[in-house]
Amino acid sequence: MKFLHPAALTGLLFIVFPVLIHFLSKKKYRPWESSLFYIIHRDLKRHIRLQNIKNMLSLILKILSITFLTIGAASPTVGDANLKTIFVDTSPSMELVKEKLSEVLNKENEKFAFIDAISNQPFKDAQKLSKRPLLRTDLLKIPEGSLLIGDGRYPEEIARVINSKKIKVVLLHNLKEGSNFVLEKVQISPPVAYLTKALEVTLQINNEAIQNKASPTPATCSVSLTLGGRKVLLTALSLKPGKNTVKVRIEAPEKLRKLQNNLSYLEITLSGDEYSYDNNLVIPVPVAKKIKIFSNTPLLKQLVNSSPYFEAVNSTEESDINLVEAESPYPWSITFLKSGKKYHTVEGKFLPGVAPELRVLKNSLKKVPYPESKHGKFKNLIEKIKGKTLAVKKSASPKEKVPLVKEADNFYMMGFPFQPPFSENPEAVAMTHILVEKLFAKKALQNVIMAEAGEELSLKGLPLSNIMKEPMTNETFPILYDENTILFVPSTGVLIARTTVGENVIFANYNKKELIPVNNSLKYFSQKKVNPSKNLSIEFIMAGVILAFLSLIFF
Amino acid sequence: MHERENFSNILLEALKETEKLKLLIKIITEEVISGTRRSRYKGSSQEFSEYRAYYPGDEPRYIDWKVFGRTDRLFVKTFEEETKARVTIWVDTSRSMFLNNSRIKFAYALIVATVLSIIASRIGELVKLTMFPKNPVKTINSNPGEAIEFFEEHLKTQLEGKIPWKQLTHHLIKSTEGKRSLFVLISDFSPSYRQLAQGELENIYRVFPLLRQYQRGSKLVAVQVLDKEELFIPQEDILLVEPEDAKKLKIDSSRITTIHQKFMERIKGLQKWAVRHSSIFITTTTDEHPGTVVRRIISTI
Repeated sequence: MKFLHPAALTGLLFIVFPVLIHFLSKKKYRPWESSLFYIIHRDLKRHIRLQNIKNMLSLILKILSITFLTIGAASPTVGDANLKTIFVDTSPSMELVKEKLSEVLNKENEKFAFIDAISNQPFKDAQKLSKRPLLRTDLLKIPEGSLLIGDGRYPEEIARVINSKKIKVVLLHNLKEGSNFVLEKVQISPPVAYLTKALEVTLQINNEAIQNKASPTPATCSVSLTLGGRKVLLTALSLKPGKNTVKVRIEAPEKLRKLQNNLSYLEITLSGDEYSYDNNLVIPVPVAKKIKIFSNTPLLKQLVNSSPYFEAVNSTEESDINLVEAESPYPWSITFLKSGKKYHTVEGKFLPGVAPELRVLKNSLKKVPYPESKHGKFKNLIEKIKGKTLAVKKSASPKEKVPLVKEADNFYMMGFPFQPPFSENPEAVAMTHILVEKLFAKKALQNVIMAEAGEELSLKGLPLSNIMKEPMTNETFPILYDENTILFVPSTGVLIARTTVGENVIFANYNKKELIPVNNSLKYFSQKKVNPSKNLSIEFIMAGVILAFLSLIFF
Repeated sequence: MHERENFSNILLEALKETEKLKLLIKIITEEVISGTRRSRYKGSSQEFSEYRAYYPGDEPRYIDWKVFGRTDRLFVKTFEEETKARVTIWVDTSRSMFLNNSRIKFAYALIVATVLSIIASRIGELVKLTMFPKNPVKTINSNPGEAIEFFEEHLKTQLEGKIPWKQLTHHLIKSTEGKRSLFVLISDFSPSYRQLAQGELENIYRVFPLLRQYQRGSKLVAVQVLDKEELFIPQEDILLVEPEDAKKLKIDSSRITTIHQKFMERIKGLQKWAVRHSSIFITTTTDEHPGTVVRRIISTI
């Protein structure tokens, strides 16, 4: 409990008065001897004891009354939002930051103390922050309830450590004077790059070099975009002070056909800046070489038409067909491509039972009547598929049996994240659809890990339930940094997914059915961890008045 | 002549000089002496007095068998005593007789005892004057002057200690030596705070039935002497002090009336208890003329 007006606590000195009155107002009794003492002492002793208790209660009530009234006057506050200390870089380049901060503080209507933390070497300081032990030690020294404003490069770590100390964190950029452009965010549209379509790249660049709002001067910088190791664009940009959103266009990246897999990387680099550490971003770009599917089943047709990963072909005679799914007795074939060239084709016919099972799989995922556990229907279906073999015709040898699903090849299935009743959970249904797509678009996705709800799993020796408590780094959770991995950890109440569509990690609160991109995860943490403050003045004053009333009425 | 005045004032004045007190005793004695000097005390003399019911322990030779023949009930004869009777007067010298720095309560009790001794000895009774828990004994035999001497000698005795009521009862019974006696106990009949916890109140009550049981022919006259101010506590906030154990109790003025009522109820209860066990219980306060008290004692014998 904290007090907004601690000076009012001096009112506790008033407790002296009822105590003094209590002792000074005691009656003076005249001594009187009587041998008849024995007749009355038993009755009176009880009476006197009661009287003493009543007097003491009266005194206690008065003391409590004054105590409560005084505490009420001192505005007692509980909660974490009673922030007292802010660390701010007050260098001239932080003018906008300070303005923004003032707005925030005015809204929150709290009293703050400002402490200057001027740094001449923000970059080096930021590097220090990256050393976790040092950071942790430093943060532990910060008083509880502090508001820390610093560099935004390491939001996750700072957020975690500080939230454990109940410190609200607002991360703003810590920069010094000079031209400085910060490449904050990059988005591509569409999220999957198509070989035949132009790729629109949206850059969010913060120009912090000139922060004088009175005389804004645009600055010029150049931006280069490299896709798959090939420079695809170099252009100059004019940036006004503050945040700028710039869109650049990369024409149809035909040359991506030469890439070995379906994932490429887009590197964006700004130049013309004195501080280059925040001028570079690399994002993964899934390259959608759509899987060509021939299907005559309505379900798959619908799936293919609504998916960015599939492309329907009208005839099995067309080239580059990846998957043929049809009612028996239609034959099917899967063609594997390497660098845009066909290197392996699997052909066959659905053996009795396999096609219906595949269909049942899709239908069951779509209609979602669902499994009770990881050993449930879904798992069984996968197992069944694994066990089946297809007749494969290869050019070299006439016939060879090949497993339909190779566990090591494309995905791992470890159960299912949602609890029944499945159909009542729209989030689960939506997720399932996504999964189905991912499963079929396995060329853009390597691993899928699904954890049973409530199940304690470990990943590389670290329990997944602790995933939020531990700093998540490339070393501790490399699998999370594998762009082709989806990880569901419902047992922690949090879904962590790494998708191929731009944002790296998605934190999702399973219970709240909300997905929060990593850039906003800090906000999520803050909202969740920092309790709102509550002023208890009225409660204390009411209690004080009631106690005073009681002491007057009953005694 | 003094009865209409508050005797306490006279006694307070007289306490300053022993001679005045002695004179006061003589005056009171003269005032009291009147009427028959013949003892009406029932003893085993040869002059028949009356019948009374037989109790186990009575000598069978006194059973009137003729009456038994007529009524089928046993009666024994009682006789006027011709010889000197035994009168034992006990005066309380415990700390509770010294109240509020005044010896008036004890002086009053001693005056009553002295006057009674003088009168008894004058009419030829054998008087044994003693005190308790201090135990000086004076036997007065036809010389009233000895009672005055006893009075003078013990007027300023130190008032301390408590009365061990249980032992006192045994002592009373033992002191009669099997003969029927008249006991006059002059005390405030109040146990101390600690005695109360030890059950001494019950022992006070037991004096009466025990004496009746073991000394059937004897008679006990209990004279409860109280200071007027201990019975009538002033109507103000009082720290009531128990004199023997110095135990204290705060009493608000509003409760004084109730307390006085309780005092009176308890005193009446004790009186009824004594009567029920064939004893006399007289309560007096120091403002009452001692002559009146002595007359009341004599009238009950």
